[in-house]
Amino acid sequence: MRNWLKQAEARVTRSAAASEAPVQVYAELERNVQYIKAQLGDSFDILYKQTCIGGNRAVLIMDDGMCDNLLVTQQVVAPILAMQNVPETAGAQMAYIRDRISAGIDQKEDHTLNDVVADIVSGLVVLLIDGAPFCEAFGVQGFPKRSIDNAQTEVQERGAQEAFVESFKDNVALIRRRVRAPVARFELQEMGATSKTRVCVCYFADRADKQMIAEIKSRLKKANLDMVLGAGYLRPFLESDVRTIFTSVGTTERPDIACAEMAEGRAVILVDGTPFALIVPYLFSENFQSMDDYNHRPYYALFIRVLKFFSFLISVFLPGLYVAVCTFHQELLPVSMLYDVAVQESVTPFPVMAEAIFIHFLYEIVREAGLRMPKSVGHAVSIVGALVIGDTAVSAGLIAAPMLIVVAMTAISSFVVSKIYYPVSILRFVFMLVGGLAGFYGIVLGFGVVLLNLCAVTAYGTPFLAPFSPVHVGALLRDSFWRRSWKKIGGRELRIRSLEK
Amino acid sequence: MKGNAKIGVWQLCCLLLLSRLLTTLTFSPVGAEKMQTADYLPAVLAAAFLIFLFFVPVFLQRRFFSGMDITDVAYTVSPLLSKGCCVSYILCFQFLTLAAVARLELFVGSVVFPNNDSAFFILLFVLAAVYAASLGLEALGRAGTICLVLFLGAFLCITLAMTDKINLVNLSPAFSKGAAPIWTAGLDAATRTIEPAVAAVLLPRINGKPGKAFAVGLGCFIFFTESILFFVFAGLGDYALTQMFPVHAVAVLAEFSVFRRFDVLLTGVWILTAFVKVSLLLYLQSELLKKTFSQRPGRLYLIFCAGTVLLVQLCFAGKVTDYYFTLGLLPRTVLYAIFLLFVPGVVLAAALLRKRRRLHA
Repeated sequence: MRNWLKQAEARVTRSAAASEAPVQVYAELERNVQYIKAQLGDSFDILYKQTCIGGNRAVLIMDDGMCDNLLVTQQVVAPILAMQNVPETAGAQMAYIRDRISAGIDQKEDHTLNDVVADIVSGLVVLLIDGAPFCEAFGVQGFPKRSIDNAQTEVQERGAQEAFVESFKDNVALIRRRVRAPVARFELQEMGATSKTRVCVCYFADRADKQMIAEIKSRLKKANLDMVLGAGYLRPFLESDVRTIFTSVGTTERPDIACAEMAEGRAVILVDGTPFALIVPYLFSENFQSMDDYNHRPYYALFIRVLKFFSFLISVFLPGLYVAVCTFHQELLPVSMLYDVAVQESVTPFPVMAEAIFIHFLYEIVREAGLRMPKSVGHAVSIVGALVIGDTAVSAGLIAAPMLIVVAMTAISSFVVSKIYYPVSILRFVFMLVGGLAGFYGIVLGFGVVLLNLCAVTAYGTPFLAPFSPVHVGALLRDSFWRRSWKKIGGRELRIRSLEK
Repeated sequence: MKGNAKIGVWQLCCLLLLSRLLTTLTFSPVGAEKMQTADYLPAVLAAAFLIFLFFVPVFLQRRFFSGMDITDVAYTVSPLLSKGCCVSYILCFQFLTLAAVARLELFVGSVVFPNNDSAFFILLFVLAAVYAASLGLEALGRAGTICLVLFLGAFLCITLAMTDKINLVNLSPAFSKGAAPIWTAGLDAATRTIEPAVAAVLLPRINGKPGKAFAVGLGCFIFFTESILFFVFAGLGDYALTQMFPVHAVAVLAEFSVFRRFDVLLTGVWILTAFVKVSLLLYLQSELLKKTFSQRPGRLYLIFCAGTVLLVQLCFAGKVTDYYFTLGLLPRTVLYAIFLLFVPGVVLAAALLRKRRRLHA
């Protein structure tokens, strides 16, 4: 069984091309075409245009859906067909086309057929001439893509409204447009044995720690994956070694945030096909920050950050505390409130802990349904959820009204810190459980465990809880809860490396 | 003790201060009814002076054997002495762990859950402490800082809420029975926990110079302990001496506007502080066990140490608690003298002699 599992795992993670030695481009056109056809099969989207250049047979090969047909015509086909005074030998013809004929800048020479095949499926047009033991590839990519749109998950009031899209080059351009400095580096690597997804590590050469960048690249290289269809595939390879429910790899869909992170010496990782960038290292305090904080005045940024922090506390601890107080520590409630809560809870059939877990579970189901359903049906889900949970369950005596208030407050609070919704929702259940089993004692102990766990996380040398612990007074006063004025923060961003201890 | 992870000297200071403040929170005047309440205040200064004296061997160790813990220093004399030193420190830390857990159990069993069996709560506590200890010294150091801030926040809240309850008349005259009771109370306070031993073991794992941090830590200890005891005795008067946990009794009385029941804050801080302290002690025991025997069992040592604590606490819970409370000042002072003066003193003297001989040779 174990062997079978290992073999299955190997099948999934095996590098498909690992065992294949590179095959040089043949001088004979037929053999080249034969090889490419064997590799790509009878796919209908691969087009072969036979032509003749200066008496030599030639073929242009392209992937129909991946190329911009207009560009192909204007930059490759038309100039080649119209050229005059063509040299006689195939090699000279290829050089003549590359240097004198084609108008595009994005060109390359391939000497192996493996590269040729990779270029074709990447959207390049490949020109093979009989007698030339190499080929020319022209970058005329143009595949269907979504245009740049508003950010969906990180909505800002006053910041830029642009968000990353699936197109990798557009994302790089979005960053480049904001940082017109030569220090910005965009280093490409391919990941996924089959998917050959392009992954770009972006950083500022003068600010990012070289060792950190080297480690990130090394981790990415070591990631043994067959398919990389999203940024999330890479996250486990970049995270800290300590197991934690929170993540030390951030995500953003906003290019301005990506630039700000790069300016602090972090690395941003773009994955082709994903409209989210990964940020490493990512600190816990960043979950309470947003780009709007830097567009508002400092006092309001402070207010918003404190608000977010308290929302985080409410969303994690409130249900657990409610359960603990109702089950063990009734004396903590003011008398009048105790009476109301006792009356309400006495008519419900379940213990408070079970009731809390049940109602929160139900809430998560409704939330998940609302999230995944088509928008037109989503409203119906909301109505059913509100009616069933909000009204009927209470009037039927299944759930106490105070519990419903707790759920509502928790739900709203958790949306305030949407970046950490997932760990928060899990922790909430954990604290409900310990609150019901061990009361306030269990909650404090649980808090201690979570705190220790967070304290143990170190991402690329930077403590996850920095600048709070270890305390870094400079960073605390500069941009933690309190953000100093731009007049004071001034010329240079604080570097993540300075938080190391 | 040599390891990769190091903590800052301020982090160590926070950990030791937390450990010390926990003893103030859990301060119980049982058996000390004969002392005047105001005598406890100068006694803190006496305790601080004694703590300073007990730290002298640690400073000597750092001065003459920089980068070595006390067992490494012993190793320079004899490997056997080093092993003996390790074992004695393990037993000492085990005793302190037991004492902290016993105190917590008494608190939980009598105040937080008076009608429940505390075995389940102690089991939870020890499991959590094992996990925390397994995360290592860096995590404990960082968590210690945050816990200290929370402690001070809770203390500030309780202090503010107690302000209107303060009446200086409640303080009985100090020095009415001379200076002897003050020194006794000071010794009693100083020997409630054993930070110099922790520092002696952790010295090579510390970044930075400890002098300033030590002075600030001692100052904080004096300030906070004086403040806590002042609020306790000025708020409750002689009634405090009849309470099992007077600091908790004060927190119960504290109220500010509509906010009441500040004892919840105190309970939370108590559990959290005890949690960090016990985790640190378990970590130290595990590291010393690794040093004494083999590195291979790794985290199993932690489980072994925690299991021992759990076994003793659950099987002989009442007895341990009774033992702790009936353990008089004299045995505690002897214990303290052995581990903080005699063992380090002998080891340092022997190591220094050996070092000199080698230099002359």
